[in-house]
Amino acid sequence: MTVDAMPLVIGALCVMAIFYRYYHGFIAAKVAVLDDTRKTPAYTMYDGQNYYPTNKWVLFGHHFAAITGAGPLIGPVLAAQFGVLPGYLWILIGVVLAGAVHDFIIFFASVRHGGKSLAEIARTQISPLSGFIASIAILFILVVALAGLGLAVVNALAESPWGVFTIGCTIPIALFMGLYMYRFRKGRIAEGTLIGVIFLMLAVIFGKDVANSSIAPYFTLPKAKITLFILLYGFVASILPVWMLLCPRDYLSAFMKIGTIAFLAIGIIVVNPELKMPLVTDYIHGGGPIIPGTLFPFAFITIACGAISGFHSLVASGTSPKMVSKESDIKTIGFVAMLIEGFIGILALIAATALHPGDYFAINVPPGVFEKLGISVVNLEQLSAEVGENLVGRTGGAVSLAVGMAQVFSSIPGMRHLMDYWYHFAIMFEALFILTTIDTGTRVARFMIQEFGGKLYKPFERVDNLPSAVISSALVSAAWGYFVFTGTISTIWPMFGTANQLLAGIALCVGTTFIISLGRVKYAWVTLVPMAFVMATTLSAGWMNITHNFLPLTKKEGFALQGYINTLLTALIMVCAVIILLDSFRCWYRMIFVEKRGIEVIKGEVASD
Amino acid sequence: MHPIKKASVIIVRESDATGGCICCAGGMGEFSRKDPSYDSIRKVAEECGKLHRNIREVFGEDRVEIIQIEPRAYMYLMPKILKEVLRFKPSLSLVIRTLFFLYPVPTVIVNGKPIGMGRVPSIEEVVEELKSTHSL
Repeated sequence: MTVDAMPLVIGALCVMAIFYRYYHGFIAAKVAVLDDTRKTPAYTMYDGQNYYPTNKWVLFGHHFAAITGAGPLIGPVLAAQFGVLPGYLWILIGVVLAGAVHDFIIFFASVRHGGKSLAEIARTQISPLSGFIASIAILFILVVALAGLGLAVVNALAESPWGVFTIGCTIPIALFMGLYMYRFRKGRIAEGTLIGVIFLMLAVIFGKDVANSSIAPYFTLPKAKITLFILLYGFVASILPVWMLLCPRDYLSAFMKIGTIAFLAIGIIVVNPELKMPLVTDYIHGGGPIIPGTLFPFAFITIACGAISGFHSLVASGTSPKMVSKESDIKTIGFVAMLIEGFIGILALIAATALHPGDYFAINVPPGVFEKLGISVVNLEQLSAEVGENLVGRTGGAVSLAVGMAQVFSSIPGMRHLMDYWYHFAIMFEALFILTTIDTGTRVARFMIQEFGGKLYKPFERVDNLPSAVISSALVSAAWGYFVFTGTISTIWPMFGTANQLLAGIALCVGTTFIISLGRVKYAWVTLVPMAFVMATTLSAGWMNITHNFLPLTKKEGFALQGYINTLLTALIMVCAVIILLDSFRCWYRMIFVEKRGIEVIKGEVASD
Repeated sequence: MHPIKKASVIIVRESDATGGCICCAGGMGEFSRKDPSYDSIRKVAEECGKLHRNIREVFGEDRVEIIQIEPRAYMYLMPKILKEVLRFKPSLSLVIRTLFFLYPVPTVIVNGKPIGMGRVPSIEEVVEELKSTHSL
């Protein structure tokens, strides 16, 4: 049985609207008890620079741009192996009951803690140990996340001269934009961005000519070489001044993000594609060729960001709480931004499941494995010819998403003959996100390592110390590069999902502690239930990953080291989560039974008070 | 009697905590405060912060609406500026300039008119502009 996209899109929007109106309204009114008479950090710590009251919609745009990345696009595509329904239902239920609640409560907690970060709130609310463990967990999770996203780009660009040329061009374009906006015509951000966008479009258009020219072999690179290039890019970009690459890329990505996502939504509504993937596949029982393992827990960790993402807790406790002008704004910003992210996840799922299952699996599974599945391709040859690429065995999710998106775009009247351009545009769009994430992530992880290193050798923590910057950047790049070199999407993505979801579990732990500390223990279930579910799924997934995937890998010739490292890292992240969980239990017990927190005494609200 | 509409000051400047598509990287956050390559952006942010404080000191919170915004927030900026130019009717050349972002950042748009383009104007300049266009 197949379905059309439209009922799913409309259904999702209706569910989100109802939950926002009633359930999220309930949380805002009864659990958080948002109070507009209480001054936010934008007033209490006002400095006009970092802390200043900001219009709700400006802050909404800022917050939404910060939480949206490549995660909600790739995860649902990979989870499509379980069928349309599991992914759809988890995104929908997850986003309204867990993801949006998670983002809101951390945002709210941060506002009540003077705009402090997640680790600092953990330190204040639970204990210094939990704060320290949260920082360590964030570092490990970052490394795994960069590996997962890096691998998606590598697989999309391997043996693709058009793709390599286009994505390769984004680097000199960003460098040029940086020089233009910060050196040649200082402050001309709009001009620089416009030029950048035009060059980017030209890179997509002329990529076809390059792929068909005599210089194509220079851009036809195997996976190993692309991995090396991306590794070098991450290393160099994280050391370069931010104005050279990071800032200009940000401007490019901001334009691309809103434009492409809006266009995809309109495309799906206009085209209303039939979803060819069955509602549920046999892989729910395990044995899936993309993500090994059963529906529970693996579907829930594969779709990470679209349903709930731990990284959002870092954004929700970052710049946004410092700028919110009144507490009631947190409701719109915290909940709605995440609901839209979930909606983007649903669009990505629709784009991927609009492909015939045979074509979908042929793209997402290595050819040797696909042969054993006993499924036949339907349109793959035609699709390959239309996009001008060999689509067989392009694992990682990015390619099937790009094909799905290109299929939707080119089904719009008058666009049919542009399939190859749309495909490469979609690849460029995804890679633009991912390279920016690699740049930012490597830089942030580098700072964290410098901070930890500074505890052993003081000068190491100075971020302007070049040897320290080079050593720590090399360490971070080598760490995530190792996973890209040695891993497959089947090993890395579940690790990424587990790590991301565990971070969400940790944040929900902190959120629950905060609700109890407010004296509203009877409402703690709003975060406790999603926390229990997220912790249960991710800890079981982590355990199953170790016992079913990584430990058997240690017995395979040539893979022993990889198996041990994957086991160790997964175990470390799990241990971090368990320590915070146990520490939280201790804290909850103390607050409920020893301190008798039935009263509205608020711990750690010094800043707001 | 209609309530007097607030005067408007839009401070367009880059964020010193930028790090765009950061869903899976967590963002620069507090680390941007340490990164020396943010120095020039941070310096401008500090000046804008000072201007923000000075305007509030002079006019209070009720008479002037101050918005501090990143240039990439064009989806908000465009209609907002359109509304301002319709309300305050500055000259055509200024309208074109502000509507199509033909100004260097940082800039301060006072009642639809960009002043101090590419630099943070002094509080005196802002006060003068506010007084001349809004009779404050």
